[in-house]
Amino acid sequence: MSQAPTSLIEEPKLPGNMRRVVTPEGVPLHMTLAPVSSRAMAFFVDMCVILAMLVGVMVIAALVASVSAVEEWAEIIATLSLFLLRNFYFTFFELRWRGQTPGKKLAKLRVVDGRGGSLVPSQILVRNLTREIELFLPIVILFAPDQFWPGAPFAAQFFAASWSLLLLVMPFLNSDRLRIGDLMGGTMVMTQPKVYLYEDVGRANPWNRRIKSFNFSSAQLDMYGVYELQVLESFLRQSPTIFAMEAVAEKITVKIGWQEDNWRADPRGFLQDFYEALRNRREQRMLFGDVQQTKKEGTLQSGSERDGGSVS
Amino acid sequence: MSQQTPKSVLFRREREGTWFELESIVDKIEAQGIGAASAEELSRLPHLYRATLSSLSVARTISLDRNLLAYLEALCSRAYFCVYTTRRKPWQVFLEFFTHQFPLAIFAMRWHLLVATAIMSLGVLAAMGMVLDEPEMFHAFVSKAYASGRGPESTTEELRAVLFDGAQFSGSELGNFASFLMTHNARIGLLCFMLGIVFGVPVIYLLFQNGAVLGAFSALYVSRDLGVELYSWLLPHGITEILAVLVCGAAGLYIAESVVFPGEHSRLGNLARRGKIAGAVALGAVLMFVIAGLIEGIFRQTVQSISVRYTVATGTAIFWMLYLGVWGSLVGRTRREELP
Repeated sequence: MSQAPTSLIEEPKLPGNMRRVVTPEGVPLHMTLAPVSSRAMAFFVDMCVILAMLVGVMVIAALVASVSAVEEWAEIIATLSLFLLRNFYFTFFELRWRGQTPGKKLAKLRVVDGRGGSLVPSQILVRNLTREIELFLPIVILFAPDQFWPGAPFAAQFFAASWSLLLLVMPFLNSDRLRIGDLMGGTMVMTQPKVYLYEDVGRANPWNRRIKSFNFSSAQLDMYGVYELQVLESFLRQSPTIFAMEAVAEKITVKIGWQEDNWRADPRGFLQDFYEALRNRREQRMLFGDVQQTKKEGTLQSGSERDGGSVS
Repeated sequence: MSQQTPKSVLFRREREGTWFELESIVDKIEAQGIGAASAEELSRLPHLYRATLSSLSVARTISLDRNLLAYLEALCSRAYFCVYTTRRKPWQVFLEFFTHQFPLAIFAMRWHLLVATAIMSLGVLAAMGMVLDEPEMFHAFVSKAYASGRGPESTTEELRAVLFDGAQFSGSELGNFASFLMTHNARIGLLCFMLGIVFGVPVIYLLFQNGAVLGAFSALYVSRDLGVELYSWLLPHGITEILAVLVCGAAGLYIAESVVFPGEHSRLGNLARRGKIAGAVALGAVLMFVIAGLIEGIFRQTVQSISVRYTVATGTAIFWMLYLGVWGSLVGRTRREELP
């Protein structure tokens, strides 16, 4: 759960779907809340797995019944396995796979402790036991109310139905997308994507390129902020075409008032040099507490090569 | 302007070996479980994790490489779940549950258990008094389906037959019956616990109503001088089962209390704190229902002797008293700090 920063230094405000989980080491980790759609998908997958398991159990039970004299064995096995699967499938997997079930694994989701501690077994137990009132009970009340409460007056049925609907849509009603089970277990469901570390775009690779290198003044570099730097990083990582690079390089030259035409011979080299220089500049300024988030308006006037040149 | 290698680039070069080592261990654990990692890897894991976490801290202040930051963030959170996880095997969790968590949780809600017992007793006494006074009231407390033909109109012989009808069951039907009962009762108990979140009113109602059914039947049988036989039929499994219902009701009240009277904490915070305890109790109650279902389905239908039935009933009562009462308060007093 996100908490108000207690230190004097303001923590950056996170986007609405991100949560700060403070580890016991005191380093906050930023995790993304699982969207309701992926949770629904994970649940659907799990339901299919349960169904497949039930069918498997039925087949085994039928085989057992066919060889043994006691035919009721099939029914006993079926009843018990339905009970176990219905109540303990999620618990079993979340215990074994540290907060994941087959469906969650597929959807890259994980159950985490809401306060940054480690997930303890009873939390897993609670969040899954409540599925009964959150899901199975509303379904019964909505589609077969007589089975739940035989002979109830219409008003009572209506009340029960609206109450159970409320439980069902609970994840949409709070910002942390919590089910009742999550509320009671003190858990959250987060996405857990796998991210690969790529070659540094800004790493100097002199053997790789460089007919000539391009140098930029501080004033030119200060035209752009962190946001543009990272957009440029993403752009360079997608191995863009030479035309795309020319287009981007042209925009930059206009913005920073780059007079010469020399970049046209090597737009990639120009962009890489610019990226390196800009990143170096922004990182250095960041060390002094000066974080320039976005670009400045307008273009840099030509000829103003001095630091802190005029901005029109 | 001459360009020197940026600090963040040097930083990455220096540290990335650690990250890759951590990543390979985490990959392995995620794919094949914690058992797949070797002893050496497991002992390296916390160090690598902390080093990488500190890299993340540093990177946040000196690097603007978005891929690097995203990579470290994702790697740290993946490693975090490998480091802070229960290393215990499921059977160890199970054992620990019976020796500590369940008795401790019962201890935590001992007063709620008392209240639940009081509510149910009230139901028993109210129904008993009214039915003894006026036998027709029986139908006000017991639904037609549940009574299955029994009522003030039934003859004494019919009522007696129900208590001793076990002879007609064959072995396989007993097993079936037992499995039906344990799934059915376990669901009722869980419902009782989970309704706690609805501010406890349904829990109180369920407890009272269960007590009333019990009281109505008692009155009916006592009025025909079948009291001893009824209890010999009811108590062997009934002690465990009624206790399980009470325990579920107590868990429901425990949760309801935290929501209705939140005290110094927030309602949602309370729910999280108490939900864990109540969940442990609910699981324990499910297992009590399983035990009761087994006794009811198999033992009761095969053993007709009243004295044996009472012996078993006494045995279960003593067992639960020792386990939950004596052992529970012992665990509760030594491990009190684990309770919220």
